[in-house]
Amino acid sequence: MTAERFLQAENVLFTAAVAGYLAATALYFVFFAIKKEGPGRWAGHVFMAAFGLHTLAMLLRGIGAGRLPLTNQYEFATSFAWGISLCYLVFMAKYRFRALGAFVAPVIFLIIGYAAMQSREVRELMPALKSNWLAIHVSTAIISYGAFGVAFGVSMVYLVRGRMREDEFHRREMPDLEKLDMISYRAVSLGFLFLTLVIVTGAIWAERAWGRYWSWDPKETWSLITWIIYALYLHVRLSRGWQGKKAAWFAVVGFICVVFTYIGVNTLIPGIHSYA
Amino acid sequence: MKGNNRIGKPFRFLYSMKSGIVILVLIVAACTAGSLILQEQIPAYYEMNYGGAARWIMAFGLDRVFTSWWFLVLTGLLCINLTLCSVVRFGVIWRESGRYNLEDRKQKLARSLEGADEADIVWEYRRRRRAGLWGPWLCHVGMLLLIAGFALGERFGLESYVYGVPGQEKELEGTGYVVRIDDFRIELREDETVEQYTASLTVRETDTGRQVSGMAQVNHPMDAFGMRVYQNSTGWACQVDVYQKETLEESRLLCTGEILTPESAPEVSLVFQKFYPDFAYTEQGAVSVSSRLDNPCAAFTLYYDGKAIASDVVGVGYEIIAEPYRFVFRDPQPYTLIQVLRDPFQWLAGLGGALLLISLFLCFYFRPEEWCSARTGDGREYSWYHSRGTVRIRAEEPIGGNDTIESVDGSPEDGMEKGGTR
Repeated sequence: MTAERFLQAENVLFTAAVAGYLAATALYFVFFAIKKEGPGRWAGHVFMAAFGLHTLAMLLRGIGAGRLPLTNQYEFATSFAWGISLCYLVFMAKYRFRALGAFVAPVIFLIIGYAAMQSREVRELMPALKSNWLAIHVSTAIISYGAFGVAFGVSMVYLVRGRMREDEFHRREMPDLEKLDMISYRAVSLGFLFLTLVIVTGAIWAERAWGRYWSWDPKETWSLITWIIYALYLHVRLSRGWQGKKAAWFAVVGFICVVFTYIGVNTLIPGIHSYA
Repeated sequence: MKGNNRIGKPFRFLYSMKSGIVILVLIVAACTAGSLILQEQIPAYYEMNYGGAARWIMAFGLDRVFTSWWFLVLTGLLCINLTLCSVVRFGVIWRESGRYNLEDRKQKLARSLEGADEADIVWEYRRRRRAGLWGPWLCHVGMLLLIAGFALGERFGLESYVYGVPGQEKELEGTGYVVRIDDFRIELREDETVEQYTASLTVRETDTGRQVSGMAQVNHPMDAFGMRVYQNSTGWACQVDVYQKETLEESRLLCTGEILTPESAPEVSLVFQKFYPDFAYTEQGAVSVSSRLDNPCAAFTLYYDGKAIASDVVGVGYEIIAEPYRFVFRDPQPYTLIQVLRDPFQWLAGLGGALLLISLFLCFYFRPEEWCSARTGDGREYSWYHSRGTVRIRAEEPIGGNDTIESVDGSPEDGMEKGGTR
């Protein structure tokens, strides 16, 4: 099979994955709206199928391109969505918390939708991007951003649940507020650890490629801003008892920073990461 | 006592988490401004893009945020906060991680055990993951080392650039070293994209004559005399001949961006603006349609007495006439820009980064736990569980159910279950 065939197959699988995430999002909404278990169960199955197709699409792109598919806007956006899906599945498996999908699936769909709007052309890498450190840097970013995405979803559930009247559906499908707060904290912890790894590995790569491990490039600066926002989240949680609603809002703001660091900085602010 | 309070209060504020949070918020605001406003441009740029606000941008140093005095003060305050906090916390954590006082732990259950016969109580005490206590402390120390390593590197490090074509030897200003460019190659793929830039270099110490030869490629710097030599970027250079009438007055290698002022005519200057290896004029203006030297052209501006008198694109080998002078661009070739760096404190920043990662792992996944239980003569068991931010006291009936008596929960933790039933 030629590289072109792999990329054609990737194209088909990617489109199917986008459709799958859209269907899962719709089913999760129905599940949340009519409060019946059936659509929720189906949403879970469809989501799993979309994730499988998405994984396969990324694998095929990697084979077709002859490298890790982590080096341009399309590749990173699709990986970003994949990272959130993976973290969501891990957290869902651990905490048996299906309603989270109603808040995470739309985020995944939006990000993969953004990926679909980018050029899918496979280009040869510029010399600065040919580094193992880049692969580690971006891979850790996927996990980090994925965990922050889940923390965002959990925090949204927290904020919504706080405003809803308690009923059987809520008791069955959603953890109590205390547990939601804890899950969000766990997701932020994971994301924060990996974000630190992202910054450290990025600095090592920058030192090898550009001679400076830190040069206040807008992307670096925004990753530092995001890091500080989450560091503040962890500090105020500990010292000022900002748990529950305040912590949930913090996690939402943090994720907005993550999205801006990824999309906003690349598209709005010029810098050496403009290709990423 | 009052005097102590006067000194103590500001001191406590300096290392308090509250001040740390305020400083971090201000740093976030500064970083946001520094990333949204393009840094280190000439005043005209800000006047053109920000109008009246340009005055304020420059007055507050928002055009160079990361080197402004107020940003350095903020970073300094953060370092003071981290240092004091680390010093103060060290003793506390040292004591906590060292020998424990069982009597103190027993006191935690005193209220629950009221009325029980002391002689019948069987005590049990356990703790684990003590190293986790050091997580937050190491995190602060890691941050400090990172900032210190970066600041010292900026202050005492060396950074120098040289550019040239193969055969040229350039002095690294103020270092006592000379760099000779032995060779420079641009490896192209079939689709004409760049595979790699490779510069073969020799670095020589002028005093001793010792020299090191090697290769610098993008992502693969060369090491020489404790310095790192990077293949930074590339551009085009041309040999420019200056004729007066029919006599060759001067010939110089000119890189893009450079100015040539003939020695015999200081009033005339030629600026080499840009080079097009395969020139074409399209709807988008002047472009190079390939990187092959199929139609090499040079964009130039000619000045006379400081005033621009001509600006155009000329083919290589053609003449630019400014009577009685003639300029001719010839022999285009790529030049290489070499960056030379020495950062004696990079290891410190690296150590800080490593500490930061280890400490965060300790913080989140190696949480210290303490558990103290008391079994009374009638079979009841009371337990006190403590993990970072979480304190729970439970009573367990001899048969069946258990009950949480007291709970102070800093961060919800499912370790509670372990503490209560172990």
